[in-house]
Amino acid sequence: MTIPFPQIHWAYLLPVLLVVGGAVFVLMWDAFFPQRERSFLVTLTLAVLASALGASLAAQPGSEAASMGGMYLYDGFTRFVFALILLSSFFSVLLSAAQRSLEEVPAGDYLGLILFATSGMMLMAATRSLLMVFVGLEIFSLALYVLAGFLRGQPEGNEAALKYFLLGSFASGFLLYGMALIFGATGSVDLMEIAQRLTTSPPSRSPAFLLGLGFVVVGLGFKVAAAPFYMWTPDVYEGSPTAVTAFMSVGPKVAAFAAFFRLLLAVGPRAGAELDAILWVMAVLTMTAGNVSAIWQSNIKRMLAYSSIAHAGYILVALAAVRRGSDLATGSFLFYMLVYALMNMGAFCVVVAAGARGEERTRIEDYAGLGYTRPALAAAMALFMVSLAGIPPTGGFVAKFYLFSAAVKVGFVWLPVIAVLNSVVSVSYYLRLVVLMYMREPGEAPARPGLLGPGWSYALAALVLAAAGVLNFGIFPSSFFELALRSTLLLN
Amino acid sequence: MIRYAWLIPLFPLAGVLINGLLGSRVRDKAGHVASLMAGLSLLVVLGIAREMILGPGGSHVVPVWTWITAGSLSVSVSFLVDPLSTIMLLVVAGVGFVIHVYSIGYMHGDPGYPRFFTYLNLFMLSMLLLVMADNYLLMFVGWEGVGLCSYLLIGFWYEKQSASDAGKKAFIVNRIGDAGFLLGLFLIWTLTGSLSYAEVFKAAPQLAAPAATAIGLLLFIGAMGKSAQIPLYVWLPDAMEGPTPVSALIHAATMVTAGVYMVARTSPVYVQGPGALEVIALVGALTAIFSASIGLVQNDIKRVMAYSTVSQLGFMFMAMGVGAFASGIFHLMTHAFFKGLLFLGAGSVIHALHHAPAAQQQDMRYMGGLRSKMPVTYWCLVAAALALAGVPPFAGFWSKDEILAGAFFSGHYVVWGLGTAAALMTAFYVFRMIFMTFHGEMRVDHHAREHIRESPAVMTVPLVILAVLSVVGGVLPGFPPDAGWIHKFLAPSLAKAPGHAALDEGVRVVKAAAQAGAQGGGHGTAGIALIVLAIAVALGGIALAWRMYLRDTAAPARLERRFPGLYRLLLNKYYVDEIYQACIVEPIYRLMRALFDFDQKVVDGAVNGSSFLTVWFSRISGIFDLRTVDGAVNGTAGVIGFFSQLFKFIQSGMVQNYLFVMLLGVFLMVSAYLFR
Repeated sequence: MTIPFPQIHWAYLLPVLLVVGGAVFVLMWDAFFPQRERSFLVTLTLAVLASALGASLAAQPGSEAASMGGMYLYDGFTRFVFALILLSSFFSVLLSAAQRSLEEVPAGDYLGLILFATSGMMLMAATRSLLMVFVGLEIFSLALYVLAGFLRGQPEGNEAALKYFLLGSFASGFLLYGMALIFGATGSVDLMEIAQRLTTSPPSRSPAFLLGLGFVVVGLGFKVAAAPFYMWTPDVYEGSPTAVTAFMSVGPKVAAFAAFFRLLLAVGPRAGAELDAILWVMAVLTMTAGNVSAIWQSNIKRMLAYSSIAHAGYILVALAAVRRGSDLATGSFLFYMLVYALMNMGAFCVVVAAGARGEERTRIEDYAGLGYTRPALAAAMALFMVSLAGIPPTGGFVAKFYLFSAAVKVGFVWLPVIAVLNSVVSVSYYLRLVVLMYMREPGEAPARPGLLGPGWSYALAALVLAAAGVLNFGIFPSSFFELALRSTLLLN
Repeated sequence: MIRYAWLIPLFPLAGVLINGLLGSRVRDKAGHVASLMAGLSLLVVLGIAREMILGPGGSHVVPVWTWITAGSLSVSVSFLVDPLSTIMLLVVAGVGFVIHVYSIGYMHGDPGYPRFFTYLNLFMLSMLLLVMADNYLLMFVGWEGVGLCSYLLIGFWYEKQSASDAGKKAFIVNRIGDAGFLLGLFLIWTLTGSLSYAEVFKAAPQLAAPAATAIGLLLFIGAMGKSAQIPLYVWLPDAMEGPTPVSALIHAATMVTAGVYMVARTSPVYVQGPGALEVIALVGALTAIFSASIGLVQNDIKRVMAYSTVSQLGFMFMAMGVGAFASGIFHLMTHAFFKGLLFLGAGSVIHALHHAPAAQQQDMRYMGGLRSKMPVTYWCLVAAALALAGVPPFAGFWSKDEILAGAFFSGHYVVWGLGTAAALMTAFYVFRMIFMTFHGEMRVDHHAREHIRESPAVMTVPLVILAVLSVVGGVLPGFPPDAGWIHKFLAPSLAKAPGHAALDEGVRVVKAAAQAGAQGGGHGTAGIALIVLAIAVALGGIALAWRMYLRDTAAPARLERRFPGLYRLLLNKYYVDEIYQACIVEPIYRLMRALFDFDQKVVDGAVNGSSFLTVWFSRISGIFDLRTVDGAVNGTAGVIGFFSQLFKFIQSGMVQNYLFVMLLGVFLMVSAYLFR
């Protein structure tokens, strides 16, 4: 018996290979030449990410999108998601290089882990197979558990890592069990085949399938921090090093949401109305819990954590619309994630840049008067807050508009209404920070000056990139949205 | 010239960038930069207005770029130049420029001088976008922008607790309105498939009445917030904590009228849903009389004006509600002149009194007799007061009279009655203000007396300009009533309200009467009667104020003693703030508090749990570091220690909580499937 070797499209695989190869190289380099300058490794990592980004942009997805029997899938959606993930990793590396407290950590280990996590996210998004979804998820989750506690001297970091690990394992269990149930009910782990089986013979009503689907939703819901599976988020975000928090708030969400979208695009329309209700409730709970809790936070990282929960809630609105077969929803999701990545990374970058060695500015009160002591930083922060709040003319507004319109288009009435009301509420805590920066006298000046030297140039690069993007997507969003829409054409 | 309309918002944008980025360098020149930019905008506006007024008019769209495309929806950044936006541009750019110049004098020496002018230019930019947009989404951009600037400028003197509280209040109340507005936009888009005015209005006649009513009401919620109508008016009186030029520009002349403009702009949709118009008429009339009655007894000069503004906005909405859209816009324009002037005049008085104790600077009980010291301010304010009171031939008379006539002839007798009563109160409170401030004996603190002098020219020249407009700004565009130039000019932009046969009939009657009156004839028609009544009401209110505050100065105290309950009710603004506090703010606050406590307990658990965990973890990682090379035995010991600790950790209370919540979610989800 001969086993046919599956067809491999190396050009499509190249971005992932670059990232994995880069990770190995960075790790090894540090092992062999430990005394090299840290900035060299940082530059190398950035170059790896940039070349992977270039490779994925260069690889035009053709008609033969699936490699390795559907295990690896490179279509327009993959391409866009790759760009998102690589962009967020790029930002995280910049932020890590800028963050003072990460200066002493072994750079090779740290950057290697970031690259490994990146590859896991990419694999999770670029597949039709539930198994690969799980493998990708575990690759990046394990890396993130370690990254969360990377500053071993800090008790909060250890707490965050352990908590993330415990709860994450619990959720992974659900995910895997759910996949097993789906396999049992349909006899396949390939989303396309599952969808076919659902149409030909209807096991879609079988309890095993529905239960399995429910468990998968739980597992993915944990990774995207949807209610009621979000409770780990604030603690973990608060405790992790800020650059890692920034990474966690974007990359894994993109990957998990991408898998979520693929799942719903395949089985959603045939999975029954219960899923509609579940997604609806999840979306409402998630955005409301995020926004209401964020109002009371006094720690900026916690506040941004709840804010990211709220944004996950908005994206769940798009998911619900996808289940109803909206073609607009997937495109709006991609565009939303693009803008969200920029504004969230930007906000975390300000947090990094505002801190000094050993004393991070994590209390919201610390930002009082920043408009006078660090005008450029404060202006950038104000821009990101306004964008997160969804106020025009920033990208956040346009992205929200697309997202909610998609929901309106498929006939949701109350869901967009609640989402709009939620974003109205959210403005209060975003603008509170702006007001604090500009309308309060600076407190006692920090004992040490803020970020200077080489770190500042990394932070500056990230800030300029993020701010330019947020403004550009607010004022000239059309071409990118068209691109996002085109990226969803080949789906199914 | 019209195709250069994109220049209009560009100049203020340049001002924002210059003052915002180089604030520390331009310093004292910030006011000049900002005024220059506002002036250049005004020049372009004047050029366009000249073309629109002398030329054939019409409606022109100036495209700039395509902003958002999504499927069939395409929203562009393009500007609409038509009669309605021309009038609005003239008001916004004209009054805006005048107030910019005035602010150079008023804000002189303030530590936040460049910041102030940055916000002021930003406001101009947003307001111009709002009135020039050719679609609802771009209008919303301006709508949000002016709200943001208003918030920033109310809280401009943020050291003052009351100012930052007022900013917060304005912000929250406006968010409620904005939510309604946004939902209205979504409804428009769902029902008509577009957001651009042209296409929406083309589709409007096909809208069913309930749908149009729903759109109208949702949009009106937005207007209630922005334009301070019952029940969302509470923020505007508090907004007077901001600098006085801000009160004049944003909270009297321009921003607060955005809601009126929006309703007028949307008139083709509103006429399809008459239910919404009835609501608007009633809310407007109630707001007019309600806040006018509060204005009767206030002692703070700016608060009188604030309640007056709320009341006059009520008049404008009354006009919208009864279908007299052009009259409403006309009143918006005249109001911008005389109310802007009243505020700037009040500012001039406050400026002159800045040596008095802080609590007395705005309190009319500590003024009096300023007429001789500040003649220019005095005469300008008298002109404005006559215009507000509605004495012919001053500006306010023409527009207010049209609104009342419109209400009467369209059969809204209740609205008309409320409006007329409000007009009587208006004449009374504004002359009460004039008499208490400028007449009688001087009650100013002795210390401050010698410092009272007329304001500098940079402040008085704007006063005089606005005073001239308050005198002629009504009769020139508005004579004869309901058929003046402004009606003909605005007609292409506005829809005709339903059932307007009656109104048209009334207009014809009034027109005939007015012409007859002008020719010295005189037919005893209803139109004439209304005009006579309006004049009588205005003069009656003034006479009453004169009697109570100049001739028989003991009268107010006597009345106060006779009706103590009523007086306290009015003085405390019907206790609305207190009622809101008790019925809405407190319960929400308690709910939030409860949520917060819950969060806090979970967090506390986390902190307690983590302290001992940390000790162990560092010990474990120490073990790891030391022993990885040493071999498996010690490593295993470490791992076992780790897991035993893990076990204790799970018992400690917090992760347990989280897992419990997760499981609860799973349970609910599964039951959604199994017990559907």
